[in-house]
Amino acid sequence: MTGAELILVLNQVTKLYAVSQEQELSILKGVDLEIAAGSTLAIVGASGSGKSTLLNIMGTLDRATSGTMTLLGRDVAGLDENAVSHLRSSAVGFVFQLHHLLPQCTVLENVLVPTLSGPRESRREDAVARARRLLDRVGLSSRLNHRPGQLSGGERQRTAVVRALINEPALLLADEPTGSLDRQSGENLVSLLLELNREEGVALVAVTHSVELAAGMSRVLELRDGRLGAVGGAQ
Amino acid sequence: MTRALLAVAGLRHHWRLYLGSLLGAVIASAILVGALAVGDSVKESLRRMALSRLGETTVAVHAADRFFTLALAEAVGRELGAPAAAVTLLKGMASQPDGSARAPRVQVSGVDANFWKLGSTSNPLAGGSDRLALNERLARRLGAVVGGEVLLRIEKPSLLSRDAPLSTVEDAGVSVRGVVAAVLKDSDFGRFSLEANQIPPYAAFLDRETLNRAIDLKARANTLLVGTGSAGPPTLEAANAALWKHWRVADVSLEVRRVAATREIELRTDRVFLDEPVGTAAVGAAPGGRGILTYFVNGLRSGDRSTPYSTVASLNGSPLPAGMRDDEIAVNSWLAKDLGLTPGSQLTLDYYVVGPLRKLEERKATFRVHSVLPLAGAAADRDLMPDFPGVSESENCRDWKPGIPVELSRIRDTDEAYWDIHKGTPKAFITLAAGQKLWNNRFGNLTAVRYRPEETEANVEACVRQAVNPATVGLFFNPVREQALAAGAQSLDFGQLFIGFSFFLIGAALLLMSLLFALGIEQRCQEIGLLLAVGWTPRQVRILLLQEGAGIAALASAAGAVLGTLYTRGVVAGLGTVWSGAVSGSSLVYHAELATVVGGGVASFLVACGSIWLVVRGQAKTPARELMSSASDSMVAAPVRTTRRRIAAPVGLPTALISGVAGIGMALAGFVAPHEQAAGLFFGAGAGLLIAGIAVGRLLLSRLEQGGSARLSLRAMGARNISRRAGRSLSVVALLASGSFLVVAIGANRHDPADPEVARRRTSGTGGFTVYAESSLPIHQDLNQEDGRNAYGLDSEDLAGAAIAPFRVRPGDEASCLNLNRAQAPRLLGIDPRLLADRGAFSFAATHGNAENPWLLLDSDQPDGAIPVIGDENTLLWSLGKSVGDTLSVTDDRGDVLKLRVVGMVGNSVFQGSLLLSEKPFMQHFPSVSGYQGFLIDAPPDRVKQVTDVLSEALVDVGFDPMPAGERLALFAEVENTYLSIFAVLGGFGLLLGSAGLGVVVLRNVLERRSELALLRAVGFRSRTVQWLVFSEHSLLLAIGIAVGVGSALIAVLPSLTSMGAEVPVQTLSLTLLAVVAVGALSAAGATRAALSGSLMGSLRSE
Repeated sequence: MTGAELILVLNQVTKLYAVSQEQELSILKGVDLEIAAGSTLAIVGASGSGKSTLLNIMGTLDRATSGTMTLLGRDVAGLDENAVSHLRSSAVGFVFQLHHLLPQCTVLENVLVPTLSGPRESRREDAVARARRLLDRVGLSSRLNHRPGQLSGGERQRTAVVRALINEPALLLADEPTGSLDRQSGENLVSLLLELNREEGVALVAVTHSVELAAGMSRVLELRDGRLGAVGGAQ
Repeated sequence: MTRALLAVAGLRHHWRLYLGSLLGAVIASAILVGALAVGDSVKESLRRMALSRLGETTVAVHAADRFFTLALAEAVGRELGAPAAAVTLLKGMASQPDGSARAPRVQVSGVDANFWKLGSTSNPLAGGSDRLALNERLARRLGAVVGGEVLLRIEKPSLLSRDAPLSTVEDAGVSVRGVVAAVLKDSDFGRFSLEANQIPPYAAFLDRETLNRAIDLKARANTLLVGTGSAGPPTLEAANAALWKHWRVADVSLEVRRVAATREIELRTDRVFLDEPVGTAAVGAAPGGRGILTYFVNGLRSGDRSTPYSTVASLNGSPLPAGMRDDEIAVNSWLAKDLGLTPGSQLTLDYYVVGPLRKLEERKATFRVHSVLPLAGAAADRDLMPDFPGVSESENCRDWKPGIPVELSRIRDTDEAYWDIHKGTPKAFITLAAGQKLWNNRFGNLTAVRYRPEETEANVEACVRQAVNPATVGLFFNPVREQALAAGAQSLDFGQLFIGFSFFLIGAALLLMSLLFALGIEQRCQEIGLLLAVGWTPRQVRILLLQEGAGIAALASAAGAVLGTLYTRGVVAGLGTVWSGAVSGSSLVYHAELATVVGGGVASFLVACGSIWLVVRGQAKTPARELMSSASDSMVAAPVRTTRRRIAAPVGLPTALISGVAGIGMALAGFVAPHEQAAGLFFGAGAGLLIAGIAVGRLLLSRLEQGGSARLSLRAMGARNISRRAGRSLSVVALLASGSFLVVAIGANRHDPADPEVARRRTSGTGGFTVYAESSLPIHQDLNQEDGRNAYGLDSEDLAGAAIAPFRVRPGDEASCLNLNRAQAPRLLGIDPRLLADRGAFSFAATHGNAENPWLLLDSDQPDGAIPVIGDENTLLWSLGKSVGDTLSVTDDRGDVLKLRVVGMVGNSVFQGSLLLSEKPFMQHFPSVSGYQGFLIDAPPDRVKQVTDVLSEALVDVGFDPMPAGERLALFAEVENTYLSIFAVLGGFGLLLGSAGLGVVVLRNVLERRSELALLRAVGFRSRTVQWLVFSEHSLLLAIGIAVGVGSALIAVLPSLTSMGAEVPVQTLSLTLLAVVAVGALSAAGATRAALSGSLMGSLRSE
């Protein structure tokens, strides 16, 4: 780990699910992880190993059963749902395997949706300007007023990436971002994510099976038996 | 981009998802707005009817049996600068000349051209004195046409009440034959009436002079209508002030004249007796006023000698000797000679007083002769005798026709000779106090007031006018227009009534809307997950959804407001046809106030938003990651912390136990409880069992959810599936159960009081009387006595075994459910309480204090002087808004406001629409009402028809109109039964909507389980098998709901089902429930098919 500022720290994080009233399933068994600002990390692992669960906990979409997690220096466990939502809105951007664009909104509007969750002052003109700039950056300046249904798969996913960055998050989480794309589009998206990581200074954590994406990351960890470790190595 | 714009975009994009919700909300809104507008329509209809029955009339005097001069009418109209019409308004009956058709209780109006001006119509009577105009209702009843003849039998008003001593009854009615010149529509003033009722009276109009001529009345009328003048409508105060200014003594049947014998000025009346307030005021009106009471006695006896039929005057002053005591009498020289009287002799007076039913009671009083007066001067004053009808105008004694039995054989030649010379000059004189003690009666205690000779007639009249309040003799204005509008405005609120009828339908529509809205939201769970994932708080998401819902509600309210007016038109049409019983056949017009439509729209918007909020508040609680995962199913694996919250089954157990035990307990108590308490207990039992049934349903679902069967089978899987969303399934069960409970329980409450078995009970609403009758003209004789029967040619055989309870009727507003208006002055019935008390007639719903026999409370003294009254429970509670112990005010014949206290309420009786008071105070305060016009007849069951026929025939001239008492009750029950029918129809529609909701539940459940069902297909189950699995498991919900509802309803209505007179609409109820089952099954099947259509395997792939 370099001396860069830590934006996310997980300490002995576990996650249990109830299978029945008597039986529980342990998904994460004490995960330790530190994410520095602007860094990149790929998390790989077998299906069902808990990668997405870990990503959801990192993105505050789920809570750990035990252990601690600090995001931008704040202990998430001590925050109520509203505070968690606000923290997520300002600190985390998500790119999902599916784009999850709102069909009723245009490309520009979809990008602006995260800005609506914050206080009214934050919805200033600069959010629109930033959205335009980012969309221009990803080659969608001519598609601002198109609906998701009028876009290709790659364009939709690029829009989702811009949506994830609109609130200038410190951490961009991507859950199999290329999973629903063809090879070429997937490669393009990987390139874009890495470029944006550098340009925007946002830390990038991706859960992926994509060799290309993993190869582009500065760190690659494997989740196995509920613990993180080096790929193919001992935990 | 704003959140609101995002909501609008969502609404626009997902409009197909929301179409069903919109439809549900539109139905709810339309029903709500429509129901409120029904209220507007009824009120507007009543307003129009009120205005059409009054024309331009704003204030009116109706002096009943008092007839003022036409000059007064002109003067008042002139004073007020307003059109005025004097009307002779009488009661009567009408018939075809051949008797083929008759109409009872006809309002006969003698009118002139001014009357038609108030009606803003042309005079249909112009051109002939024998012309009649009939309103449409009367013409229809008689089958009369223009140009045909009609016979009117009209009550001939008597200046002296027919109940008063010496009054005659033989000429109580006159007949008038006329040619029908016009049949008047409402717009032709054919609805004219001063009584607030939406049903127009049977009305006949003829020229006033013609009518007056028929009843021997000259240039007089008893009703004065005043319209709106150029300066606007006159106020009540201005109208009464004009009346006070212009009335003359002649307008209240008074006369001021100089007496020949003594040169005194005398105030007298052609009504024989001066009304007590008039007499009292007149005595003090001018200096030296003294009262005189002269009475007609049957005989004067001393020893074995007797002088028949003479007058005796009671007075103070001349010719009474000074110092004469109250037990002494002064006789004139003629009588002294005739009976051989000297001072100190005993003289006995025999005289009649008139009791109820004109029962003559002969009384006697003995005096000691104080002195013998020469038949000259003040002792020879023939003016002391008032104008006794049938006596005063006679040339000979043998021509007398007083209203009392006179044995003409007792009249001797010497008596004839006295009459020839001295006419009615009193033969004896007693003190006024002594006379008033003997002859005081409810019509007055003076026959004249005299003033000193030095006074002038003009001066005395001025003094009398100054002293006497004309209102005390019925001469006062009523704000009839204001009262009429108030009667309509304060009428039964049909808007609220129809909201009550429609609440289940509205509820079902809202539930459907909510289910569909929830379904729509579920289709968008990924969107919601995304919003949560990008930092929206759950509250923000819920507000966004609520905004979308509010958009639907707004659209639905707007559409519903428009459609609601169509619904109102439909209901108004229904009330005019199939539901006409609810409004007693009134013709209603559609009307909706803008404020009502807007208000209803806003209300439905808020209600819809509230319902949507109930759906939305549970949203966005599922984690974003689950919502966003299309393959996820929240039920597959739940986080540890939520596991224990899933099952709330234990809550259902105590509810089921408590409600069930309470229900069974009440049912058992109902079997042993008195009849009147049993109904309540059984209904409570039914309600308890309904709740218990729903709770058991919940338990059953919970049990299934926990895997009631350990063995895996397709059936077990299906059973478990419907319990996966126990709350959703339970809402459908509860809706169907509650709906079928209400529809069955209320529908089965129809009853037919005309059932003879019911009607015969003395505790029933008929009081055990088999016949209820009213007469157009009053009957003064006692039909229970031979004399009375003889008067109408009835013999004892005709009425053998029959007993008749007569009652006096003070006309007023019908205060029953048959009158949509709020009764302003209810009809009053005067009855002898003992007639009902002795037979223990009717059942009391409540009494004022503990009374062994509540009827006798009518004769009780109230501490504040109020008059006790008893009324029908429905009339008091719903039409008058009164209960036991409450008071209400009415104006008596003298314009005094009487306080009436409700001392008892009889349950559902033939007395609906009226208030009963004891005959004694009735006669005291309403002397204008003479005779009896209402009758309850108890005839042996096997002779009811014979008695009815005999009475109808014998009393045809008084318009005797009998009907089985049970049928009269049925008239009232018809309103209630129609209400129940309306509820059954609207409730049935609600139930159908509820069963359609089952389809939505199926759809939601199946869509959630598409992948699971796809798996079944993948492993080899046939498509039809999967569909049947889904259909059968949801049919269970339908079956549970209907079974619980119908079962508990049957317990609730057990007393109704087993009671006599029950009229359970088995066919209608069965059809309704069958329709519910059919719609429920169809919607479930349709939803199953729709949900399983397309590629199920796609679901597996996404998994």
